Amino acid sequence: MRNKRNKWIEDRYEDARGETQQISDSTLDAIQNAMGDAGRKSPSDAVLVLTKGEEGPFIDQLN
Amino acid sequence: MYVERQLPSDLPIGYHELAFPDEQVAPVRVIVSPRQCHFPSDLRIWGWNVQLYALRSQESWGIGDLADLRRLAAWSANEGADMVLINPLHAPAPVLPQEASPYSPSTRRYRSPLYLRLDEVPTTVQARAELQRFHPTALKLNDDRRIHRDEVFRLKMQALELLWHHVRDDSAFDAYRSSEGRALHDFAIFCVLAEQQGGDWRRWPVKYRRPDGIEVQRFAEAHAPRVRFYEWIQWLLDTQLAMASEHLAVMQDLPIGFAPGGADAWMWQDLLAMEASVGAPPDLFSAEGQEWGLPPFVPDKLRSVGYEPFIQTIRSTMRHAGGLRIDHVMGLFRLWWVPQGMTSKQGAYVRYPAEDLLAIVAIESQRARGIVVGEDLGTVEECARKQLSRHNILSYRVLWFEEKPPAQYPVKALASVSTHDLPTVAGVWTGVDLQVQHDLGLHVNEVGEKQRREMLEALTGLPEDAEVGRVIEKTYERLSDAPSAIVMASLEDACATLERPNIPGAPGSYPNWSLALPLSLEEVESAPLAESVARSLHRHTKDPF
Repeated sequence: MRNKRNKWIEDRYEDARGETQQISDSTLDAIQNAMGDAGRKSPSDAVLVLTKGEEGPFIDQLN
Repeated sequence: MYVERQLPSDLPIGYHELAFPDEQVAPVRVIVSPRQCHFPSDLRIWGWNVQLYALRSQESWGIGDLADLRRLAAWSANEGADMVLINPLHAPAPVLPQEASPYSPSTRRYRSPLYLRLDEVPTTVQARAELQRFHPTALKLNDDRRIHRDEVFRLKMQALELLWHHVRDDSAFDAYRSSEGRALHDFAIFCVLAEQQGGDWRRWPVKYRRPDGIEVQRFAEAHAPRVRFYEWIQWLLDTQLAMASEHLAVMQDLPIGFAPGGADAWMWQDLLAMEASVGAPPDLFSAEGQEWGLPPFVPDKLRSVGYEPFIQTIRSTMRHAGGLRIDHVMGLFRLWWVPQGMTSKQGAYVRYPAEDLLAIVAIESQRARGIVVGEDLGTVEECARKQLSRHNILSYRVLWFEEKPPAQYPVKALASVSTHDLPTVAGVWTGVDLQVQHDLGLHVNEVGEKQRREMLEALTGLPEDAEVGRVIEKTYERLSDAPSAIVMASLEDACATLERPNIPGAPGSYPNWSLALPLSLEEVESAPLAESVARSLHRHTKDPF
């Protein structure tokens, strides 16, 4: 179940003492629900961020 | 521009829309970033950090305002300063009681009318004469160190209505309205609705809860003059802020979020997780963790609209600014979400597309020629610090938290002694800060307070019974050793203020964000301690390192 959640949600973190804390399933579910429907979709391709001077991608890769 | 096969590498910096005319594909927003924020390589400046509401002059109406900021800026520039860092000026909902915390605004795009100097609003001779009747009450508010926001709000809104009746067509106002467009119009509609329905849109009748609803449009048409009134107030604020920024760079402060019932949340409700709040996990300072009552953006949803809310927020906060301080800058990387109904401990981190957000900050920084500082106190991932530095976002170094002396602070940093949430030098040295916390019944970190006093003794080399003014002077002498690009002194310290601006977790009886400086602006300008601190920091700009 844990790996089906939105990719932005982290299921563990390192606390102030440097110890890894696991996040409970109930919290992960609640956050997934708070994100709403879009939270389950893959990230939108609505944006392309480039650095000035950087070679742009091929157009057919975008559409 | 028509492009074939591949996007060219010479697209100008900024925001572009890539459309596919022959195909049924949604356009793509192409963001071309300089990657690095504005940061002159030899920058070595100093300035004042000020809670603007606390900076009152004899002409203030009970609260520091933009004319006071302009006067402070002129005086500071004369003393050799190059920057003033101010608290967020963003607007709370236009209702009573007025929210005191600058870090929980209704919007992060528009500013609070409380900061207007009404005596400087261009108007008719008749209106100017009528304005006089407010003066006895308004100026008397300066007698009390406590800032009475509700009283100030009542007075200033009444006076604004008086002035509004005398307003004639103004092409500059029209140009401002036109440039702000829909964002300003929707904000003004929110303000009028809030006047009638209350400051929290979640409690309004259902028909008004969505800004794109037909009933909201009807309401706006029926109340067009009042909507225009709120647009005019923002134009006045914009004009006075521009004037205040003429003497030197004014660094604005960006809160991590906005109130769930406020204007930004109303307008962007589809992009927010309204059933969660931003906070912090348990740490050494807060064993139970924190929950700040601010709704977070859902990363995917924010991206799906080309980051438009983020762009607008950064751009408007940098308007007329020479810099931007991003509070809790780690929020660009990850935020601790606390789901509704759970405790602060029961949250989790949600990641954000930091590289994209930093690219946008860099664009807006270069456009405004504004230096960016990231408040990176607390738990910060080392890789995030490096990423910030690569983007020329300065670190925020606070004496109370540093183990090394100021001379060893990094160059890409803003160095200061304290923050609005931490004690002043006088508060530590005299023990008043500790006593206040005891009196309020708060859990007091006695060890931490003791360490701060010992740090002052070691740093200044002064005996434990030294006079507090001397301790402040010596502390800033040492701070000026920092090789950091910017060194800041707080006006609280320059006035030997005993109380900090805000004690997190303090009960309502304590005037968080509501204490004026113990000296008026006129007194600050001639205070020997302020002069001495300024002289020390000015040395910072002169000494080679």
